[in-house]
Amino acid sequence: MLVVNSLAKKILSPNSHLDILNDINFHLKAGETMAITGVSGSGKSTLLSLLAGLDKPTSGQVKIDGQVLSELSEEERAQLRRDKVGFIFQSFHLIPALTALDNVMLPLELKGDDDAQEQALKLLQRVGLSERYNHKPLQLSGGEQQRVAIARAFAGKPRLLFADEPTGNLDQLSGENVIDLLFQLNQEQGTTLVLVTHDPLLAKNCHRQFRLEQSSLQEINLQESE
Amino acid sequence: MSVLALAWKFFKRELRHGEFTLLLLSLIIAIGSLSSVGFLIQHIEYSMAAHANQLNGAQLILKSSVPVPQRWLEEARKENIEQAQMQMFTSMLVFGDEFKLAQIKAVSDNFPLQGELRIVRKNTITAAKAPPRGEIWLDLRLEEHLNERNNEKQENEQQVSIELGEFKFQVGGVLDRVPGQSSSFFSIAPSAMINLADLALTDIIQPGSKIDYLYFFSNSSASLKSGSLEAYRQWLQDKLQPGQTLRSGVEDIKAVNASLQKAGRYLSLAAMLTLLLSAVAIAINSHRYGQKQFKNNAIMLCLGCSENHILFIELIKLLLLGLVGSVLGIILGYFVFTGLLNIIETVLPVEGFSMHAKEGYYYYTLPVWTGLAAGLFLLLSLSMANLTQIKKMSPMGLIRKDVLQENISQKWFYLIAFAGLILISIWYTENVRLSLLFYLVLLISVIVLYFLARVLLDVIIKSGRYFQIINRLSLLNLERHKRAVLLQITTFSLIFSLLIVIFLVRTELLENWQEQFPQNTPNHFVINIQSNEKRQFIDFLEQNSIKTQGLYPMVRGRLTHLNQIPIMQAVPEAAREHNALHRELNLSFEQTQNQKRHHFSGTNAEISIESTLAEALNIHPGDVLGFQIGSRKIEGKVAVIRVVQWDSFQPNFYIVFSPGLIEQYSMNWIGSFYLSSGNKFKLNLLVKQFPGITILEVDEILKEVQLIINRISNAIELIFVFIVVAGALILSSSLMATLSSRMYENAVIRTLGASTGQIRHFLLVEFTVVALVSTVIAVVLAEGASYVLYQQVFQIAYVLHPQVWLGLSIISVLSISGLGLLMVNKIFTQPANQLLNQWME
Repeated sequence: MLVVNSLAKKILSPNSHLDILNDINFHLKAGETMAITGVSGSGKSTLLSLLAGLDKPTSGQVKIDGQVLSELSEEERAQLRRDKVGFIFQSFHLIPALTALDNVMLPLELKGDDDAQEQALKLLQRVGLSERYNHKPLQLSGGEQQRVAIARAFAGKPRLLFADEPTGNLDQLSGENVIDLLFQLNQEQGTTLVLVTHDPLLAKNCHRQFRLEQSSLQEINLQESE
Repeated sequence: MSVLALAWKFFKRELRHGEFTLLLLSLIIAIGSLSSVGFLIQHIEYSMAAHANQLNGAQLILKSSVPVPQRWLEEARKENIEQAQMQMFTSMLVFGDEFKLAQIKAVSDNFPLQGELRIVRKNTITAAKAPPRGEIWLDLRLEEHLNERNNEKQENEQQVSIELGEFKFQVGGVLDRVPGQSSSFFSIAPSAMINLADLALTDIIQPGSKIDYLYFFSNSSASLKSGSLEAYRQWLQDKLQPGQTLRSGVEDIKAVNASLQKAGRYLSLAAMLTLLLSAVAIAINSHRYGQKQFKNNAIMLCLGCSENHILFIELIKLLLLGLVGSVLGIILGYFVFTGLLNIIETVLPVEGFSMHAKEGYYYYTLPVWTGLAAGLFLLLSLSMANLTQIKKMSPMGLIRKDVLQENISQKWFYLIAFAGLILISIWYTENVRLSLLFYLVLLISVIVLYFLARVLLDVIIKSGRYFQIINRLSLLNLERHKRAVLLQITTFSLIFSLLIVIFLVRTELLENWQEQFPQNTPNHFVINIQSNEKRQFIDFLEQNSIKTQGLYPMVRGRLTHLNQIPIMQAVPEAAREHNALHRELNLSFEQTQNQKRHHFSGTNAEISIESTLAEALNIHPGDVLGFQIGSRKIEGKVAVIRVVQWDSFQPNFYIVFSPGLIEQYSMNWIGSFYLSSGNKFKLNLLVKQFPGITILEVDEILKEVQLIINRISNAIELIFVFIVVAGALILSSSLMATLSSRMYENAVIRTLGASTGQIRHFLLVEFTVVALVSTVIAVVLAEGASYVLYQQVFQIAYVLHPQVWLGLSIISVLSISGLGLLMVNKIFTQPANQLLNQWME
């Protein structure tokens, strides 16, 4: 499903260069879940952006379903995202002027689905916000906003879902609710999940765990660590 | 750290990035546009004044029928004002055994003080001062007369001498251009010039001789407003006796004066317009800045800074920003002004228009002060209107950017900004009436157009949904940005309507002036054609291919009664000194073939009277006027009050009778015709055949009038170019200010997989709707405003302008969509996560 080969990201400045990511390699099968942990500033979010095709690597490649992202045009990458990829952000990134329902409908409408509203309502019901479908993001709490974001991410029925510290902006209770919801929906839809998190508990819910340290990614052997 | 030091630190830090830089940039653009137009307007006024002085030969001319007291001239000397003199009278020149009537101009050595006296000497044109002692310079008509005579008598030009009174002058040159010509308006006889010092030798001036004494005054600056000359003018003004007049500029030439007045109003309008455009740009960017500052200020509040403290820091920061922005804007404006002027000069050479009058730039201080005032004042009042809202909000509310309710203090700030704008505009244009009228119309229009925009937008969204002509996402896009879209529409329609107004007024003025002096406008008048000569006279013109506008009868008579009451008792006291009551008037009558011109009913003895005379003497339709013609009395009822265009260079009359009333009285005829300078010699033939007629030559003055009007037209074109450039800059800065939230949203949509085509489509629909709705509103507003301006300010006829509607629709869609897509291009080229991160900062 997801294959990463020799992926690197450098930031070049006139006098020096900074290696953010160096020689990253792994592959993930369909339906697997993967957690990436690491200290702040270790490059977790950058890696996620590269995996989702939201940013361009300095070298190396990311393959989603056999398609090499760097060989695709921006247009083709957009189509890939629309058809196969979902994204959950730490800071939600809901569109403030749209209601919860409209936000969830957005990816469906971009795909051209005729029953966008129906599907979106179902998802909102699934995340427990059917009563608040007509509220705008600013009228919702952080936990509620993230639930809308999860509904939006699953709306396009992605085969691959990226979540960037989905609980980072939430209190413990809301965070736990969001995690439960995320894994439930993931299971229901059989999605492959890549999760960036600080939270060891959250990481433990995943099939595989990776740690990003000094620009390189190491898989943690779960049996050993146990 | 003191608050001031803190403010200074923040100012420096914020200048380096973000919103402050954008605000500064918009301020520089706004003030740059404002001051570049300001500089140009000052430059045009300066050049006009300089040109008028060149025409006049001086900045100030005193005309008197008697020599003025020496003290007056000494006063000028004391003030270091230069002076020159001319004495002008009609006398006979003697060419051997032949006499020729001529207008003699005896000038002092330093004539003219300004401008060029040009003569033709041995077939080359040279600039000159007064003729040397013993020389006489003749105008073309006298010169041709002299040549004819020489040819007949085989004499050589050099040997020719001409007698004036007791003195024999040598012919030294032919007058090509004489400054001060307009002072006599037209010369009845051909003219000749001698040195004033030779005048006494002619012994021609006797007690009782009718002489015009002209005194010319100038100082080093072109503008009459500056320096000692204005003080001297006021000093003289109080001492003037009847028969003495003072004038400056070209105000005595009615045609030029009317055009200059209109041009002046146009310049004022242009100035106000750029001021308003700049205010709009500053308002939008200040609003955006205020909104963006909420979060920072909320954090400051959380850190324990008091609200007043924060507002004080903001005030100092804005003051510094205003100063820096306004000064940089003024510098930019100056470079745009000189740069554009140079470009335009190479692309479109303007004859005689001084593009490089650098010496005058010293006086161009008004745009600097108004630029500074506008920049500082508008920035402070409009930004503070937003920033003071922190007083009404909790810090967390500010961080969450809760919906803000407009509060009362905000309204006060807007009101102050608006009042300040009006005051600056009055200061800038020195035209209270125009400024007040303009802002009144503006205020009403903005309110109306805001509601109109709302209604139109709703209609588009609803009908788009109903007919499914626009896809749901585009409609949603429009709907969710309704507030921002309305703000954009209001701004753009304001900018467009102001540009249309200035375009329409410009076009009308130019066309109006072109029509005023078509080719072959009569440049000679003939009076004293006797009735029995009329037929032959017309034949003469036809044989010589001279086009005439027809001959008009003229009967001399005195206005004696109004409604059977002696006129002096009947008119208001203030009107008793009116010139028309103290001399014989030239009365005319409608010749039957063009009876319709005066709309007489044809039933009674009717009179058509010119409107300013009727107004001055308080005469109304239905009043009965009594006239004395020779020894006979005649009455007529006022049927028509007629507006006469005195600047049309056509024969005009105060009083015209209906047919059949005064035909039996002794009359002569007046006519006008066009004669090119190559055909001037035909005048001599005309005078030879009809010795009794008098020819008034206005060709020189007409040429000057046309030149001045050409120049004003060019100036108006220049201003227009400047305003369009300023408008485009401001349009783009306003567009940029309203686009930032779009960048974010589209970045989010892109991460959700929207294709470039889809995002372009949403934006294109939005921009097109904004452009078209703005166009509709701008057209409504502009047509309304032009109607008021045409009628009230420029006195020109009003028609609708459908070609402008179409033109603007195309331009607005292209410019808004084009510029808009260009500005959001980042969405398509930058990685989506970078865009999102930028927003999060």
